[in-house]
Amino acid sequence: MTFLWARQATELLLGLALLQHSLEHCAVASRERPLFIARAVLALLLAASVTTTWFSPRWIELALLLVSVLILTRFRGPYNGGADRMGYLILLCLCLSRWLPEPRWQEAALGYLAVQLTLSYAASGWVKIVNADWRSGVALTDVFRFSAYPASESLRGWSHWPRLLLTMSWLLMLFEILFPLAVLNTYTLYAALAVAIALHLVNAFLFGLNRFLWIWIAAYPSILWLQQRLIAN
Amino acid sequence: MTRSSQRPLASLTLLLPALLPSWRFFASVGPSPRIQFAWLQHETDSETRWQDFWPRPAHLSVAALLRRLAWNPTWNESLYMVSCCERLLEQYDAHWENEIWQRVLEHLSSEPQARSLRFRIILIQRDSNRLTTEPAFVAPVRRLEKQPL
Repeated sequence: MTFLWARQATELLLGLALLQHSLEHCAVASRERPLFIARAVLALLLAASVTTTWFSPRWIELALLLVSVLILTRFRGPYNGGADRMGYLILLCLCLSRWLPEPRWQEAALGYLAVQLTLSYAASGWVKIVNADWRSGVALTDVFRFSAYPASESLRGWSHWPRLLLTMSWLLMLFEILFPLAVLNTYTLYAALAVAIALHLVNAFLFGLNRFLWIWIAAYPSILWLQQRLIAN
Repeated sequence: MTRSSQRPLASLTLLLPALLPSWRFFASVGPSPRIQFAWLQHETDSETRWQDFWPRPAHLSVAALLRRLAWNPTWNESLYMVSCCERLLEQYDAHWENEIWQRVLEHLSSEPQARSLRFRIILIQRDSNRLTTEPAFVAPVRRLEKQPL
């Protein structure tokens, strides 16, 4: 995978993910609708810029960054927590890789995104594994029992299956913390990303965290490119 | 530095966590906030019948789960309201109370008899093996000049 291919794939996937986020906002947040309509149009242009030379991705990304600062100011931070943070990170890295003058700096910007993607799994695994409640399965039981996340009341019944949740907790922690090792080989990386997509799908089904799925996938081309650039070649 | 020149700087600092993010998903499971509201006929009503705001569905079909992968705006809005509650309880700021009011007023169906409305935040947490529920914040009564849609 070449650098240019990875950057374009990231732009396409980010454009589609931001379009999805923005349309959801437009449906519920009437006061902020103009901001999100503007972001939806720019996201669509970013996705379209992959197939046509009519639009310059570097200017679209700069405009998206400006709208993002306005949205961050309006909500005093990210609206949708981690999903928004990943979106801003991808946008910043793409913007830098389009505006920095030297090719190696442009590559460094996309490489930084790949490093942060790896950290997003490893750090999440680390903060869980050092917590006794996660190691004993209590934390995941609590998530199902009383947290705000289960998407339906029937899902709270999962809290009555502590052994299943203990197994799930350890599988999740081990996968997250070992994710960086998968980068050492192309095939293990593909396998790890497939498992990661499955995990995001489960999160979306059980906890309604659909935005995480689309925005995390948008960062995957960067790690596939960096792995080939540094290790496979 | 003047107040107006500080504002763009403050906006840009909001981008810093995006450049150096902290990835601590589900690090621990703390007390969980829920929003409840109550219609009142008079501002001085002492009896309050609290109802859950946006209660989650009892069950979701596979088709609904699949649909929510692409389209789940109300759920994401409700997660934002949970984050407003957490920030309000961490340190009171009228901004977070107004964010909740704005959404409560915008999304509630009208109640013809009601002249006022209030909301509260309750916290659900585990105490040993038992779940406890306690009110953590009660918003002042708001008189409804216009019925919510």
